Amino acid sequence: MTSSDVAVVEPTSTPIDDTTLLSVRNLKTHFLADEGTTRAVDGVSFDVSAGKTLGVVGETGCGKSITARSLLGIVSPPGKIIEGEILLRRDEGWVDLAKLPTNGPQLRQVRGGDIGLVFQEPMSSFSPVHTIGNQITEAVRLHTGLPKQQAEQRTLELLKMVGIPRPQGVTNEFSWQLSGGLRQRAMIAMALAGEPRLLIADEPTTALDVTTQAQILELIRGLQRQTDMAIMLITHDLGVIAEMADEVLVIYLGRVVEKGPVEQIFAAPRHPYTRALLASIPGVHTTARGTLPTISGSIPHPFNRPAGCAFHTRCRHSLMDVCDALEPATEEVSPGHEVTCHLYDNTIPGAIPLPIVELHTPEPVVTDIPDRTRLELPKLLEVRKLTKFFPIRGGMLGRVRARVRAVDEVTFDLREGETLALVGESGSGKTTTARAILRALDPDSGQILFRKSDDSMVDLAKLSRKQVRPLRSELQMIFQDPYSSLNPRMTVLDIIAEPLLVNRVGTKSERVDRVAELLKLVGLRHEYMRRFPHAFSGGQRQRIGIARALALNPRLVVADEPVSALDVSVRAQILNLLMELQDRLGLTYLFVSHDLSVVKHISDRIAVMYVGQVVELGGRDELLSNPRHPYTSTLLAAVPRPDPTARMTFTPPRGEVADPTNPPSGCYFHPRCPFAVDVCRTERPVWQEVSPGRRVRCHRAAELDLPGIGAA
Amino acid sequence: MADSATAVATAAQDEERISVASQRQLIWWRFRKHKLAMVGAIVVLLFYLVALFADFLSTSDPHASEGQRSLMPPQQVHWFDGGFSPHVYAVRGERDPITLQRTYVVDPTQKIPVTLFAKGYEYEFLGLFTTDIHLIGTEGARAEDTLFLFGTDQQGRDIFSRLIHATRTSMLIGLAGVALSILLGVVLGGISGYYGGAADTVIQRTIEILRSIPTIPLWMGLAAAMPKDWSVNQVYFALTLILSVIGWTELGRVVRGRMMQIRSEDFVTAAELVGGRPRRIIFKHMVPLFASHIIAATTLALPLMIVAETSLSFLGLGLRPPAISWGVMLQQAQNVQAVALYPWMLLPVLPVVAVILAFNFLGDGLRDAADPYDL
Repeated sequence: MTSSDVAVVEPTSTPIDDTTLLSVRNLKTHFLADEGTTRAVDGVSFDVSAGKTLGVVGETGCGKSITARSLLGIVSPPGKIIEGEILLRRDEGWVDLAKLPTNGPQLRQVRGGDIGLVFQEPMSSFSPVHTIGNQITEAVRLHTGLPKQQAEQRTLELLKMVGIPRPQGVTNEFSWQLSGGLRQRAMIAMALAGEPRLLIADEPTTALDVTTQAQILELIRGLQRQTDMAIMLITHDLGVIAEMADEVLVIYLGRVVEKGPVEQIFAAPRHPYTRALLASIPGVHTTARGTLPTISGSIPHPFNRPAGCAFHTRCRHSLMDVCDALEPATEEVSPGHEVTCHLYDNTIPGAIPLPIVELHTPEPVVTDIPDRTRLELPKLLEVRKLTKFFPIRGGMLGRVRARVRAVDEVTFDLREGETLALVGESGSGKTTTARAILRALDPDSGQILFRKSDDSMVDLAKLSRKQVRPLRSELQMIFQDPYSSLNPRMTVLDIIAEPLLVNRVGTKSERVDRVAELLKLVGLRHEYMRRFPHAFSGGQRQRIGIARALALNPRLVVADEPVSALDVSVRAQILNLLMELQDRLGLTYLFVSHDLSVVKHISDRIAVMYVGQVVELGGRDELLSNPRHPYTSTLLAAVPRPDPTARMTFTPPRGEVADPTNPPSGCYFHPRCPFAVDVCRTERPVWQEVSPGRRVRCHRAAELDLPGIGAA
Repeated sequence: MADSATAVATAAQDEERISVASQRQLIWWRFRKHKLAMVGAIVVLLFYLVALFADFLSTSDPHASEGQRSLMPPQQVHWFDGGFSPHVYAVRGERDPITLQRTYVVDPTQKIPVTLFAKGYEYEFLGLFTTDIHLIGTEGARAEDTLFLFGTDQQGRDIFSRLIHATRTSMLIGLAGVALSILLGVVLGGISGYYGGAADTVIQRTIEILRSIPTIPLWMGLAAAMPKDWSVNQVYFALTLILSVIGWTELGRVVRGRMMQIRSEDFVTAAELVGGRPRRIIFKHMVPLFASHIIAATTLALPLMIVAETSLSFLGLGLRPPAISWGVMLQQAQNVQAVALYPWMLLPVLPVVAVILAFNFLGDGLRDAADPYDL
């Protein structure tokens, strides 16, 4: 590879120390459109050193990804780097990537050569019409110039390096034939083809399940040890940052607000934004079911960046006439730890630096929160052997070739006023279970006994769709995707009044009053009634969805991943709202989630699902601190904790979630279970009660002593 | 400072304006930005106005032939004669003694004044009342001295007036067919997409069978099978209706696809969970979401109908004289003589091209503007 034609520059301002690989100075990437300029990245500076990991964190729309794309010159038009330097150390000296033409051969050498890139969505990063092998071999040949045979050899080595079990087979497969985890591994192999010295990973694990995420993070860490490459890890998940990063960059609206070593950021965060982000993570240092600290409002569009410090509109500590008028300067508070905030500027009168609080010190336990698991609450719902298989049809006559065992004899009770969480990885059947209970799907067999308001029990599974209709008002749902759940053609008034209208409740003016009342209940202004959904942020849309679910005074609310599409700060607001509503209205929640930290925060009892079956059920604290099923224990260990001092020490389970069309014999979890014995391979475990209210589906439940996590 | 305060205030107003804007308003705002589509919309509108006021705009009866004025070239209008007084010169027909070709000699001494709101042939205005007022004309002149703006055809009929009447026929005759296509497409495609299963299979197989039928032989066969006592316009109208039975298939597929996509949106589930009945869900929640796509599909289907009429009439399979349409007029220009000696016979090509382009620009603009998630 000839690289002598690359223009070598001298770093201008401050000198760079020897280990620095990439130095970004005052980078500005703006989107110039007719309506005005959107300053997506507005003066970002940072260094990345060989063998180190830089974590970049911030809410959606902060400019994290645009920063990464700017480095490689792949910002889509009308985006353009308008200022700043991107200095990359190469053998011949420093090269300023910002000055290179974006389509030129020099930058092409850098892309995939010096800098590798891993995207969030590996599905769309591979071409579906070429085999994985072809695509990686092509990347190898482009960057190393090896002849075909050697390149193919190298491809196999790369695939082996990223831990793909049978690389020979995978080379001949297409991206859509691989599972999410394998696809992401293949993506990493391709990024490594040019032997990069810097790997940019843009939300590499966001689309993956926790156990797969743990595997991929472990892989990236191992590769870094082997090759000494630098890693720029972009994520919104502070747990992943704590797990992986050496240094952390906190970005808000295109600017760095805080930068420092990972221990400093997590132990002594200075900027109010960093502190608020850390504080709003549920389940870490907060009391279970206590109110989470939140950041008020939501992130403004970068087009309408507030004057002065961009964060002042949401900041609890903002100073009048200072934060809203003057741009804050960057202060170094300790070696390598910089913060851009007026509070740390001692020239400003009234600026008092925030005291360093140990965010890990647990708050005093609030005792007036009742432990609902101890109360003898009446049962609202009894689910008995609920089963739903989806047929896969194929062939000329559409015969059923296989069945996806989405829900496989699920049994549990739900007591009035409690929150039961259904937890599991994707494909575990938790959403199908929830939708079958609401009869959005028709179950194949089993019972769904629901206690009506007149105390009589009715089996929802036996009713026809028409017969279910009168019961609809008692069972409602909150959806995951705040965008798909609101009809873009209807006003907020029409959306929330829809349940009332369909069930012929009240007159028109009564309905308007009820909508105003509901909006107030979920914390929205009633003037918003005439607006259309497109005028609202994700968090606000979720509130509208909650208001719709509550319109008919339901008794059971099924919340299907209600916060997983939201940013951390907004997530805390919605969780607080859900808990407040439960206390005020006496709601019963069936809370579906894959996120254990959320579940730990909101639930009273937890049911863990694996491949369509509930494998463990019990009270929250008991189940989390003393899991009895190896899968529960694995899930708990795989969750990255936002504490850099407690990095993951366990080995993530091998393999993938079992195929629900063709589950393994015996216990479905046995191929991945470290404790599996012969009986696990042959016999199906029974759903046994190990202690009052505690059920496990495991042959060895009685003998195993599994690690959990500390109770809240 | 005051400036920035007002700027903030207008920005807030702007935001409020956008927040309460309905989908229709958003589409209109975006459509307005699409210059080419706006031009297309205006051109299409003008063509339909012409179709509506065809008789009023004509200068002479499109069916009246004048033996003395066969294949006369377009007449030039002179605007000034001392003062402003538009007029044309009288024309004398002569026959070339050698080639025996008929030539027309302009006689500048005889002026025929052209006036606004002149009296001409009688017609029924929009079916409301009978009148003989036309926008322009040569009042009181002899039949052979009337205005021939675009010249005449073999039978000495005024091409300008015929073109205007042809616009009416060509622009309107496809409408019923397109309307029926759309109705069938939305209803059958909607059922197919919403219910799925057996209904879907039956409808999709039907679409496949219908699409495999070759159109032109079918058209020829149908044209031959029509009752003999029907007028040409009736026959053609019946043909468009029958063809629309095939024409709905494309829209049917699009609607089915959109339906299946919207079916999986959470707000549809939400509507079901509050007890909404299928009819309400389909028409209140789902159809409005792709109404704009249906409009766009219509605007793109209409030019197809117009081209189909023109080309079939040109082949002699569609409309036949005495009906007047662009295709019928072009059929008369179907020889080398016309191109070489009487190029004005080819004038009907211009409105065909103009209206097809205008419809396509309009359809493109509507389709772009109708995408709700890209503001």
